[in-house]
Amino acid sequence: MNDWCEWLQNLPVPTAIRESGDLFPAIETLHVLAFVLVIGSILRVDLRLLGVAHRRESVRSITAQSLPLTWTAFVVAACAGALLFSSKAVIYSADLPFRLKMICLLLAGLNMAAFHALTYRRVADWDHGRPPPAARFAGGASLVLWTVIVGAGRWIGFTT
Amino acid sequence: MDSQDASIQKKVPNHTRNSPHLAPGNGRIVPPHGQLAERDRPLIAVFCDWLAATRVSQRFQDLDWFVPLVQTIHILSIAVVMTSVGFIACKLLGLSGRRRSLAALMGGTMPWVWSALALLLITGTLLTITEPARELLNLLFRIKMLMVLAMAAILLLLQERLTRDPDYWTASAGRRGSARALGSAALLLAVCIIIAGRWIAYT
Repeated sequence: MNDWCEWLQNLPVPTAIRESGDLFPAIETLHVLAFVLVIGSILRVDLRLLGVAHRRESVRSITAQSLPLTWTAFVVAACAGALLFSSKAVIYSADLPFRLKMICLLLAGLNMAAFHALTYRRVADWDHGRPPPAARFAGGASLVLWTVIVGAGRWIGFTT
Repeated sequence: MDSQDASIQKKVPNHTRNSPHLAPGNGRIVPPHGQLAERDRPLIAVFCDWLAATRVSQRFQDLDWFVPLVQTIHILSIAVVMTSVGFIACKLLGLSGRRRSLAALMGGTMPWVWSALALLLITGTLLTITEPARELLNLLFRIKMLMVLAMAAILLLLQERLTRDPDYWTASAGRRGSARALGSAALLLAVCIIIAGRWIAYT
């Protein structure tokens, strides 16, 4: 793992990001711009599933508005994040907050996949009303996981 | 992630490490080659030193988890504002569906935006108390605050007109044009606020 990280960070592009004064903050800014849209759009869905916000709108309408933005922004955030990681791969791969962030990202993905594969299939039954416990659980879990992802991401800045 | 972030743990106001007229280490004021003596220093710099030395600031600086935790709440609130402004701007620019009116969108979204902005003000104040010089002496921070005020004013204007007349922004071609301009400006400001916010750590 360490060898692979060392090979990665010595490639031309990661080296350029590490050694340039402005490239890292520029890519980081893009990462922040994209992930606030990921979080904001996911939060809309989570809060609707929890029955806290947008109660007058149907769940399907909220997800239809939010998910294209979520995915587009996620691709940008992930690409920018991968570039940031590559510039100091050895340090990040050993960093506890970074590992926590990656685990939570994985769990958030699994939570979302399970929700769409199981609970969301019957969305027609609860589209306009209060979502069932499974949907509320998915919304709550997503909210917690994404909060930890942001927190861990910010924490990385203090440990690396 | 950046060295400026890590500086909080050193419990030394940022500017004392970088500023030429402050002797490193002991914090004593030394005016070399005709630079400002303490009594001539800008009031804001004196205020920053005073604030950083207060008990509450020192307490926040001593807690390693304080800044990352407050920043996390700050970022989550930014996510709410940024996404909401994005949706509102898309609606004003005619890029989203016509199924839901602007008034309905603003009615459902703006309470969240104002709450998030209040949370941003509180968390931003806490961060400023913890590291006064990092924010108050930074030109980008001042520009960011002006942009926040401008964005909030635009949102307030959009909302205020709608409460009087739900069709206000679509009533004429001129108003539709104004709505498009205001939506674009709010979105541009939101993006620039985030850029400025992140670059404060590097300047």
